Amino acid sequence: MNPVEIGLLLVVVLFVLLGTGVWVALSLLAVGLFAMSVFTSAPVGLALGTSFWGSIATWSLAPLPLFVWMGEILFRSRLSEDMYGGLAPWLRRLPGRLLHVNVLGCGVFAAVSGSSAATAATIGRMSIPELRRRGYDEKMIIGTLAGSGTLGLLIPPSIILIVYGISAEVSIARLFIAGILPGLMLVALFMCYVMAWSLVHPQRTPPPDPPLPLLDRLRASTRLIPVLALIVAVIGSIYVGVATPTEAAALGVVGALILAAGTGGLSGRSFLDGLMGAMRTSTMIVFILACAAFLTTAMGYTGVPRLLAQWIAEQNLSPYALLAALTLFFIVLGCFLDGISVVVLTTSVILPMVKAAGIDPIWFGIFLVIVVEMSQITPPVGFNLFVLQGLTQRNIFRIAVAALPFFFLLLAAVVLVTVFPGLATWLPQRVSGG
Amino acid sequence: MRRFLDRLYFGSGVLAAAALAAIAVLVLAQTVGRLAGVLVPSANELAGYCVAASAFLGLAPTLNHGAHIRVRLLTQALPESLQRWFEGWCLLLALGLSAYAAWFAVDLVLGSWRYGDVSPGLLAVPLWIPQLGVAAGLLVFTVSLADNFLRLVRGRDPLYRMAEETEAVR
Repeated sequence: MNPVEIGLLLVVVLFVLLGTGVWVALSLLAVGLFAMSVFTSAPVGLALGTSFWGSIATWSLAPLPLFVWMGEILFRSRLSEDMYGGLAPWLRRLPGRLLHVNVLGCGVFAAVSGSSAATAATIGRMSIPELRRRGYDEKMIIGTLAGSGTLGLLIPPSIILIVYGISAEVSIARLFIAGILPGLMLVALFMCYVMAWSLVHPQRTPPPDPPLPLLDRLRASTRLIPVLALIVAVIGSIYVGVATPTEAAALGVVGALILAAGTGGLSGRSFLDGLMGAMRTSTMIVFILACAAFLTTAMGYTGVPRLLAQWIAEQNLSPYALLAALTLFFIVLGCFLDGISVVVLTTSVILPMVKAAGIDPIWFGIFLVIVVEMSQITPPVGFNLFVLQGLTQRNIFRIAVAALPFFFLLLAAVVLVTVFPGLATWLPQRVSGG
Repeated sequence: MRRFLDRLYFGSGVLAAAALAAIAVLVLAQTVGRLAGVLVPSANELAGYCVAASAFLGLAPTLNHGAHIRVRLLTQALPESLQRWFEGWCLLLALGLSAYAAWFAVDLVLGSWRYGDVSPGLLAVPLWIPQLGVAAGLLVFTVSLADNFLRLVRGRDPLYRMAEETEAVR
């Protein structure tokens, strides 16, 4: 069999396993075992033991469970109410009014949370009933929330950037910093869209609440101080270079506990619930990483990724053509797989090819994450769609239609980051601490 | 037997959660220690070992909570009786893979023990101790997969079935 045939066969095996409902992590493990035992003569079991141990028992993975835990604590706190109360008074005059609470709220929460579903759920829990009661357009409430929730993946801290950094062996601190500008750009894009939409459909935005005097507005904003302090402590310390991502994550856990306790959202029960929930989520992700690490080792033995890279290099594709093809491929893949699986499959198989084409791995991480953000809001498998289905009790395809404009805005962001790569690479270059 | 198994999964989960909390404590101790000029020996290695222990000991409770992700899109559309066959295939394959991985994790522990491998840091921790967490976690995972498979064969639902259903509705 030539490597292309081997590669295709492995893809078929993987899709059969995934399609029949085998857990993602175990499907990756099975494909790795199959590839290694059929196509190589290397000692399979030995490689399995060492790649599990070597890839997981490492300090560089420590920020992942910690950031997951921080998110669980904040999800159980009263942050959701405080974010709504603190942001809403300032947004009454903008075209689109309180719809911006969804965008900005998600943007701010994304800076303390590493997950897209948690971001949409935390902000939506408060804003959906409030905006509905005031008569905002349901489609826009759902769309803004679904779209902006995905910011949780791009704006640091980000679980998926940690996953990418670990499996692509790229500095997590640099990836985090690289995500800042594209994240802010997306917030701006979303807000511009909301304003444009409401200028086109003025009759579909309810009248504003009576304006609050400035003093009251400022008083309301004090509710945002704890979360802003947490953002400064976590992202600021990484940016300035005084803390590694692991230290920043531990700091974030303590900060989140203090914040939850200070706003009266922390009991022994919620602490334990949060810890157990974090343990399960992080187990799920780390186990996928462990199995993906073995798959990477197995694929390395078969030589398929190297030959794929060679083959791509011989095609003399322009990097733009390669990226366009990859974008399309990821969008299709993202309809059926979750983001973490897409990322680990990419780094196991496609990354050598990307490096061979001369693409910067940090930049590629940001590109990949924006594409994965799109997969969060495409049916049939889109985690943000599931979250919003739970919050609104609407049909998943209706939610997907509401989110469609934001899918295209994300696509526009992919194009912008490709045309202006500096958006992702400029800021990390300013930072000395690696 | 049922009570023993449930306690086994619960205990494994509690240890996994404790290991997760220990990561935070170790990292904080190291950071505070650095500021105060006190060296916390081998904090990096120990935190890494806790990551591994937490992830592998958490496998079984995570399975029973339906928190390991999978694609249920296609199988969900099938009639109930056929779904059970697919569930059986998933569990049997998972059981084989997990048992295989557990075997080699135990092999790793025995190897480290026999050759007296120790961690590279200041504290020379014998490597078989942290590796034991990985092996034990995979063993409990194997037991829980066998448990769920037997439930299915006896016509009952797997333990994670309820959690997966509520997840889809929530």
